[in-house]
Amino acid sequence: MQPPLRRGPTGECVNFIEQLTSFVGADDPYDYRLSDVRELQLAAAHQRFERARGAMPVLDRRASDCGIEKITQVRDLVPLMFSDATYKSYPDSFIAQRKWNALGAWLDALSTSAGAAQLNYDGVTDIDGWIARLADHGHTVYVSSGTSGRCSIFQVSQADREMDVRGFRSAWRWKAGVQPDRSRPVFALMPRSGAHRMMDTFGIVVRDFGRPDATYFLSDTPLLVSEVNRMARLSKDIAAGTATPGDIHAAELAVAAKQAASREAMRRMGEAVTRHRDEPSFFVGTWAPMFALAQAAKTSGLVGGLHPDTLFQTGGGLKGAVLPNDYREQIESILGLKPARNLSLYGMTELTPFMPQCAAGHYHLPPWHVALVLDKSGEQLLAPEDGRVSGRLAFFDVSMDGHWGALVSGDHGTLQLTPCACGRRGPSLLHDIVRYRDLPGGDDKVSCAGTIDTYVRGVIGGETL
Amino acid sequence: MSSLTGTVVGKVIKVPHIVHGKAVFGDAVEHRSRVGDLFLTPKLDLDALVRPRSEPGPAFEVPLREILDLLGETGRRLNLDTNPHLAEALDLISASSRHSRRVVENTYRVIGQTFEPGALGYQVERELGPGVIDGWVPVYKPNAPSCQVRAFPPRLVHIMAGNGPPAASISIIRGALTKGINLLKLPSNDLFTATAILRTMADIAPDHPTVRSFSAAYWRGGDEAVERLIYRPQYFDKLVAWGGEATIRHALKYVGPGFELVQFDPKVSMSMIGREAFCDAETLERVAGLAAEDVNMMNQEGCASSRHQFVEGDVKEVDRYCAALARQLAVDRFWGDGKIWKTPADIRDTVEGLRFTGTHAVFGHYDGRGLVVRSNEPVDFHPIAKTVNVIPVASLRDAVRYASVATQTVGIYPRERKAEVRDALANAGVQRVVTLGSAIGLATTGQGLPHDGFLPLQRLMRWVSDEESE
Repeated sequence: MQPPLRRGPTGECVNFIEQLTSFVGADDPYDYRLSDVRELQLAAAHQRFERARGAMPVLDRRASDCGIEKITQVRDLVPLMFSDATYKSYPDSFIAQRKWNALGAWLDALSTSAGAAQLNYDGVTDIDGWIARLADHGHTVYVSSGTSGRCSIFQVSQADREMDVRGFRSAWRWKAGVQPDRSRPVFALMPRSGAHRMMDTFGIVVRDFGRPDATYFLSDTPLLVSEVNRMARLSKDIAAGTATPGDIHAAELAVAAKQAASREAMRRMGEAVTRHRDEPSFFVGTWAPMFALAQAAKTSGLVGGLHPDTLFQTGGGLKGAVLPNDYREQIESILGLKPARNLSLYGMTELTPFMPQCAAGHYHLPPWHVALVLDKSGEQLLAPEDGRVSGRLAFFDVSMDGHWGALVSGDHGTLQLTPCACGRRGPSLLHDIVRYRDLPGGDDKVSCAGTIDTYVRGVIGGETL
Repeated sequence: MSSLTGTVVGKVIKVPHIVHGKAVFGDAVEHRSRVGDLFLTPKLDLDALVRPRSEPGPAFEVPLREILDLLGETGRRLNLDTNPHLAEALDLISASSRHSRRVVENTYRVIGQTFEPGALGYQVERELGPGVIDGWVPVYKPNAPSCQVRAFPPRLVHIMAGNGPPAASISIIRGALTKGINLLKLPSNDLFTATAILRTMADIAPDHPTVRSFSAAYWRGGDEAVERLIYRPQYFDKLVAWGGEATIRHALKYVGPGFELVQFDPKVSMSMIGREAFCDAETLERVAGLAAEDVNMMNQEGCASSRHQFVEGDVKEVDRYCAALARQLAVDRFWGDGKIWKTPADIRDTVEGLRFTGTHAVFGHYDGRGLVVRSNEPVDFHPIAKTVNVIPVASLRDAVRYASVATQTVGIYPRERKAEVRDALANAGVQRVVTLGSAIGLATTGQGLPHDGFLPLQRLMRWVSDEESE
């Protein structure tokens, strides 16, 4: 595909963002020459920057602080990068003390739309209620969590949700030439509902593909943020010494009950997988639960894999989960997962585009997603050598509308600017992406300074969204 | 000042080991630290580093007087202007240190003071009691036959901390005073200070039993191939570990009958400032200066560095204090730099989010001159890189609830108000109460006082009794 760079006549207002995102409808949105779209990317990036800056006080401050007025080169984006700390910066005490308007003021400062600070939150008793009240007034708030138990909270717009779903449909067409037609048994390794992107837009993909009488979720009870939050608060109370042994025991029991329930849910889903073994099905989930599901299917008697037209949508790191080294081989051999029918994705929850993996193992960037490779500190843009550059991955999602889409990731990776072995000419990321915190070493850098976290022995490990 | 990513030294660094007091050079093993610095060490000869229990350590029967003489002479020779080992250590450390050379040099300038024999003699007598380290001392127990007790020299492995030369000198001094056998595991963030001190001691008296009682070596912390072989009661009595949660979690695997862990826990520290600070503008500025002194020790990288400060006053007053503190943080001090590396991005981004809540105020800069965040409750992030969280309180007593088992030092202003809160603080888990501005004390004047809630020498010795000895 040769993307045309349309420019309006002088003085005409051109929507560069739309020009760029319209490639989502192309036959192969990942086959383009970066040099052909760079100019359009920068024009669109500047347009996005101007719009967001006018609406987001946090971005406006940052831009003033670092003296960036115009995006004319990729380098200009570096000082404007947020980290995931931005969307985790709310004080826990606002939630514990139910200061919903203050939390709303915080959300407004980090969103392109305003109004959360002024809403009436009468009767709201927890964070889930706060999110629901916002939803009633047209604000879609997503919550996500790392393994630390501290959730990111951010707002997306209707346009973002639509773009997300278009992205998935485009990726499936690209990967396997599949059009969803609500015909397949679907195994979704997540709860049916919740204030999380997975349950919202992934849920649409699930319904797209799923035959209504054969769509399975891990749980029918909604995923509650307050539950995660309660665990984080208990951690705090343990640190402060205000949690009693009884409180800790109750939390242990709750965690054990939850784990037992998920084991049971996994067992039931494993049976369903075996029941539907002869139909072309659809699986969606991250690697750790996918591995558990494969085990459960095997236990329920699955041999010889599944229908050959079965599709898998996978992705996400292991997030600290410990799996056997050959977990992928095991999943492949039990479920019969084939690379050609597996849409493996890399992306950041806070940003819309997911990058699908090609046959050569690279994750491909669509034109509306600009990848930057920075030094470990996230401050310096690194220059490619021989078409490749490795370091801290950062992204600018030009399509992102509800909040500022320039984000530094916690991941180390390699960006390739030369054509991929799969034949596509666009930029791609090599598959060896790893979280900085999982890189080895550093144990013997001993210092007498510590944090309170050292003093909290976890009962609550692995509780993530 | 060196760059954030460390400075590339022209040549690859060679780190010597010390085996029973003798320096061993070699480049058989290549190590790479997490930031990518390359360094070479001799091959680790575990058989040579371990002394069998069948023979007593070289210094077990040396009178304390002679050890104090050696330490005193060592202190005199630890003069940066005349000691080539120390000068070399300073060059190597400051090449890869994030602190300015001036601050690192200052820490080396005072290192000799910690070897002052009068203070060390006091420390032994205060912690162990008179005579008991030099031989069997009678103890008289009511209605019981007389007994004798000896503080017997131990066999120690030290997992050293690397955030400042005092960590090295304290380990060596304590090890020498016990008369025991000492194996120092060098930290990757200071591979040089301990060996420089040991080589200085060897220059004075190469065959001195105390010199021969010390070995020092580098292996990667937590390296099972090394630790599972030597962390055994047949070779050592105690593992003396500083900080480092990961290090301690590794070490716990080996602790068992006969092999004990002596921990100096990783700690946090704070300040409490009474309303007296607001009596006039000059006092406020001076108090903020004292508080900055406690924050900025080793650029806030120590356990005694203040991170949260509780100030008695209303929000308006406290904001005046915050502004003064931000000014004072930007001042060069003996133990800290006026301007350091930039605030880490996650703290900057968190603070930028908090700025718009309507309940937080931000003072200072992200450029390394110092940052102050005022909030109603302690912030959820861990303040580092000259970041201070200031919380207004109605009374100092209200601040006690924020102290915990993780709190080491509490600096209080004015001095007279310490008595008002010290029992409550101790009850919460605090180990050290000082006058604001004196948090550094432990490293320089602390000998003979408790450290992390216990008397370290007493804990390091093996206490042995001879009962019905007469």
